[in-house]
Amino acid sequence: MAVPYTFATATSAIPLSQLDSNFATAITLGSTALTLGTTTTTVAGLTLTGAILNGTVGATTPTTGAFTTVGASGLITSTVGNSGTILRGSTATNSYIYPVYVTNTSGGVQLALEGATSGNVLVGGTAYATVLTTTTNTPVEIGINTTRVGSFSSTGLSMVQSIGVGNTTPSSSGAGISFPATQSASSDANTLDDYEEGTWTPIVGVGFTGVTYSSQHGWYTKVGRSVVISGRVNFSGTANFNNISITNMPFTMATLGGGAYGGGGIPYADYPAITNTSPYVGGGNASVQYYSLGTGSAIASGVNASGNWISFIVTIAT
Amino acid sequence: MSLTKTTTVDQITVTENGIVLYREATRIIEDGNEISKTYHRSSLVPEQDLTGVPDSVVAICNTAWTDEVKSAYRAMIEANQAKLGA
Repeated sequence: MAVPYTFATATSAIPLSQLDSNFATAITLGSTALTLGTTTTTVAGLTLTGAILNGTVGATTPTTGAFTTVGASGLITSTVGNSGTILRGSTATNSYIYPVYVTNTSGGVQLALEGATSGNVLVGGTAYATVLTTTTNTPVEIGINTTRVGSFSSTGLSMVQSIGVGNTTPSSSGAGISFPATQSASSDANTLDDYEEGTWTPIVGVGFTGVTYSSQHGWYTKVGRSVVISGRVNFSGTANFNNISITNMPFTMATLGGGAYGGGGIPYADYPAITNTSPYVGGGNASVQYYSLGTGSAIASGVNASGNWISFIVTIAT
Repeated sequence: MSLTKTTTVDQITVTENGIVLYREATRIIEDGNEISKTYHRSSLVPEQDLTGVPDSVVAICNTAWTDEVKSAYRAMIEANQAKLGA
């Protein structure tokens, strides 16, 4: 087709492909509106000054300044500010996406709030709206600082390290559930609300006099209201043994209805009086007493326990 | 890199019968970040000798162990021993 030299007198549409092939220099259209048809056209090295993307597709009246610049880094920036909308759904208000950045790197789409300390990146329209999902049965991955920290899958939540409950900072070592340092007690019978492990120092409260120790060791683990407590002492000197009681336990046995008590067993003892004996923790007490099985009487012996070991492990409820 | 170790009483509990439970937390801090924390617990019964016990715990004991609490605790112990034939 013949290319009109003066566009103003053109009476029919001019394919851009003809412009590409016939003009080696830049084209200035001035204030004349340029309408592109449905033909796919490649324009290389296009530079526009002023409002470069102005208005919406269709017959709607353009909104001046909705998009003004495309920076050298590829960012599309809205001049409206942090509340400006760059991408918007067609109807519902909640279909707005409010990011300042919408970038595509390595095939992925990143949504972010720039400089904001709060705000919703994605908001569902109803209580159970799906706001983040995959379209196949593959996990939704979660990352921090570009490092994977966990994922949601159809079978549950998987975390690389720990989970903190009660607003607890998860432990940085190992993997597990981190509970608050101080128990946040739940009244629900099916809720695990506490975990703690530590040490304590067994001390002979009554029974012996003139007690000296070669070693004193105690460990405990509390899971919910149950506490497993173990202790072991080695005497370097004792005298006047009678009705031994080991005190300074880390927790007290709860005072429950029916005279509840805690107890357990004796892993090792080489003291002659500790025979057929059971450790016992009465309600409201923080001490272990030794009673003979069968007779129920407190054990008693006048034998010096110097050099002997006495140990126990009990389970109590708090 | 700086490492510091601190031990503090971070929890004190007084039970209904006057037993005082307290917990000491030992923390290892590296450049301001806690890298380790361990607990050691102890318990004190009314009228117990408080030698060597941390001051903050002694203060609680002296407040909690009223004459009424001491008497009630003695009575509880004697009742428990009588029940078990000790």
